[in-house]
Formats: sequence, structure tokens, C-alpha cells
Amino acid sequence: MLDSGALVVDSVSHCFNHTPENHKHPHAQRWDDETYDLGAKLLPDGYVPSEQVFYRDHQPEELARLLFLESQIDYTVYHSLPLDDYFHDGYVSREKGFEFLEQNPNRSSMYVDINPLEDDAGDQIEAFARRDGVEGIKFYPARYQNGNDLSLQLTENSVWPLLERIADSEVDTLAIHKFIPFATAPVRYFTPDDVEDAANSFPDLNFEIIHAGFSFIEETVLAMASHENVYANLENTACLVNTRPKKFARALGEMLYWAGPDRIVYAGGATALHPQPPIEGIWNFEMPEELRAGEDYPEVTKEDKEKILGGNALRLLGKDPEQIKKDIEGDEWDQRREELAEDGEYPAAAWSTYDTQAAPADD
Amino acid sequence: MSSAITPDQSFETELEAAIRDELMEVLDPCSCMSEHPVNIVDLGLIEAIAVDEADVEITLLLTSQRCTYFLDINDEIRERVGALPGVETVEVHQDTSGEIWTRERMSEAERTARRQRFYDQMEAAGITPYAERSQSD
Repeated sequence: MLDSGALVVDSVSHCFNHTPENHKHPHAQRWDDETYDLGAKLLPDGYVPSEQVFYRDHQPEELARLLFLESQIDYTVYHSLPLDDYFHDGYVSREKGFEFLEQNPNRSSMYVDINPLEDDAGDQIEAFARRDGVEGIKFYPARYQNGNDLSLQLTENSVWPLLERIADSEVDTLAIHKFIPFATAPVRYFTPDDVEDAANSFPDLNFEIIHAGFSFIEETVLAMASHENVYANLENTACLVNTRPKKFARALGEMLYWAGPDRIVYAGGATALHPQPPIEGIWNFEMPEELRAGEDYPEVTKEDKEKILGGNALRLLGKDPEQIKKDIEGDEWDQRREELAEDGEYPAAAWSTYDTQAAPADD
Repeated sequence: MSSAITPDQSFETELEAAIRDELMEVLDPCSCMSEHPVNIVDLGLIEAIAVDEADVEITLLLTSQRCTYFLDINDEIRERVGALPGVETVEVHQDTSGEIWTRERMSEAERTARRQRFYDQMEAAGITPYAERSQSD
């Protein structure tokens, strides 16, 4: 919760599995290492996990402690991942996600990954969308198969019909990874052009573009400004507020200037990243004067920050903030936070609630 | 922060200037997929040009450390610069010092042209900035 009393909602969390036993493809180690390196670049000193903490099969109980004791996050959206071309369990398994939902029903929702190339992908969408707590579907823009990077742009014949299935299902949001290229997939798969086409044709679906602001910012704000159903999800980008503040200011400034503050959502990116530094960074953020004067970027108000850090996400999820506050008041996490706070130890130190001998990496 | 070699930078030798001119013929492969190809000097990818008699070393700072087109860029640079009179060997390195490419490395002309295209696109789409709409409310 913010100092103002507004809820903090994390629009992406994961339980990654970075163990060698999970590798299915030679590129899997590269994924693991690059994910670790990205965190080392994006997190401030003291928040980079030790390798001992990072290179493991992260469990739902650990994710809950990380989010609810080590950060101000009150509510999270767990995203499972469909990367079973590289990892046996897809990298972030659905099973752990449903376990997490079951353990934290008042504090979590889930977006379920779907591989559009599976024959029954449409039926999977329909079935998962009916389950309690599932509020969205998650796609990736490429898939590695038989030595080739296949495009899974939303406009592909293999993918487009699934948008109709989502539109007919119990959920109305599709999240899609963009802006951070991976492995050997061509960069063009990571631009938001296909999202624009989809947003245009499916006005009743919401499209949450993950890692918005990390690259292709002008293309992103064009999509946001021309379509009311396109949302910018700041997973990873949010961390730039501390470690590359000028780039963050420019990305946020462009979004606010062209599209306004109502469709930007914070995400912490746990367990790959520690979610607390960007919350503090955004709450304390001020648009640099040079960018306000030079680019006409607006001042970022307290109300804007409350929207970005929680309000927008709750609206997208169709949740009432007051109801969430009632539901979580006095629950296990609320009580444990109180106890920590009494000793002046809330939020708990980075990675200190992990089962392993946790410590931030030596910087 | 380091700065990129620019299109109008002056050099001590004619060979260095000729190399820079040759590099301006090499187009960034990603930009070639758009309607506006840009050369690697205007894009700010050239970190350094070092000449030791007939041996040339060129260091690139790519927009992504994981750029899958490095080999293509490398091949074209070696072919073009290697054909210049007085050049015997050409080596192309990728800067992996941790330095990050930023848009400020692009040439002024390229940045201005790019921004203008963006404004044109917004105008063509009939978009009024939210900031202007909210001011007039």
C-alpha cells in the first residue's frame, strides 16, 4: 500500500524455474543467464539476487513472501509462460500459478499462457478462462520449432482466430510479450504493429503490451493514442526509473503526453526482479524540468502515480479497490506486515524471506 | 558517456575520413525493414575508427548486445573498408564494455527527421495529444 492509502497492484509476477533440469534446448541456459544479467543491470545496489537465490525453481510460497513482505504490493497478477520450446515447464508453470491463486485468492489473479500452435488452443482458452481467478490470456510473439523461429504475431493465420475465441470467452484481456527480443527471434516480431491491427478489429478486448517503453516507444504511443483498448504494462521498464531515469522519463513522458495516465500499469517482474525499487522510484518520480520544457511532457501528479501503481490495473481487472481493501484487511500478510512494521522492518530486506541462505549479490 | 562518430566529424587523416564515408554506405539491417533505411553512422553505431598504417579496427556499439545482424554488418564493413586504397586488414569489434546505445547517439539530422515522421504519422491518424485535450477540457 502506498503512503496515501492507495493499493499497489503488480501487473506481472512469475515463479520462474531456472534449474538445469528444466532446460529442454541449448538456448535455455542463455535465457537463464540473460534474465539474470538483465536484473543485474536494472536493479539498484542491494536488490540483485545472489546466484544461489536466482538459479532455482521458485515456489509460490516464496513469491508470496517476496511480494507481500518485501514490497508494498497488495495484489498481483501471475503470468504463466508458454516457453515449452525451451523449458520443460514453459519457464513459469501454470501449475504453480494455480497453486499461488489458491493460496492467495484475495490477493491475486492469473493470466494463463497459451501456445497458439497447439491444435486445441481455442478450447484451452475457453476452459482456462472459466476458472476462478483467471482474468486474461498470455501470448508470446515467436516460437522456436524444428530449428526455426516461427512468427506468432497476432495477425498470423494461426493466431488471429484465437482472438475471436478470447473475445467469446469469460476473459477480455490478452497480454503479449513485446519490446525485448529473445534468443534468435527477429526484432520485427517485437514491435507493436500487429497489436494495433488486433485492437482495431477487437474493440471489446483489452491488449496489454508487456515491457512497454523498453523500445519502440513511438510505435507504442501511436498504438495507445489511437486505441482505447491498448494498455502499456511496465514490466522491466519500471526498473529504469532507478537505473536509467532519463530513458524512463522519456518513455513515461511520451505515454502521458500522447495517451494520458489511465492505461499505464506498473509490474514488478518477480521472481526475476525485485519488485520494490520501482514502486519507490515511481512514487518519488518527478519529470525532469528539461523534458517538461523541451518536450512538453506533463508533470506526473500523485493521482497519476496512484493510477499507474494500482488504480489502472484494478479497473482493467474489473476489481473494486474498496472491496479488495476489505478482503485483505487482517489477513495473514496484513498481520505479518504489521509485525514487521512494529520492529521497523517492513518492507523486509531484499530476498531475506527466501528459504535459501539469501543475500543480495555483491555489487 | 562515450559519443559516436558523427557524419560531419573531422579527422586527422584522409583515410579515417574515407573510412567514415564508406561506413555511411552501410545500412542498418533492421531499418531496412522499415520505409526509412538509415546508415550505421547516422544511427550512432560507430564507437571508434582506429588506423595503424594499413591496419584498420572499427568498434561498433550496437543497439542491442544480442543483435543478430552483427555478422551481416561486419561482412559489409570489411568488404567496403577493405577495398579502400591503403587498407590491408580490417577488423570489426563489438563494444561489450557495458556502454549502452541511446537515441542521443543518432545524428541530429536523423533524430529530427525521425521525430518529424512520427508527428506526421500522428497527424495522419488524426490524433490530438492527451495533454492538449486535457488542457482544453
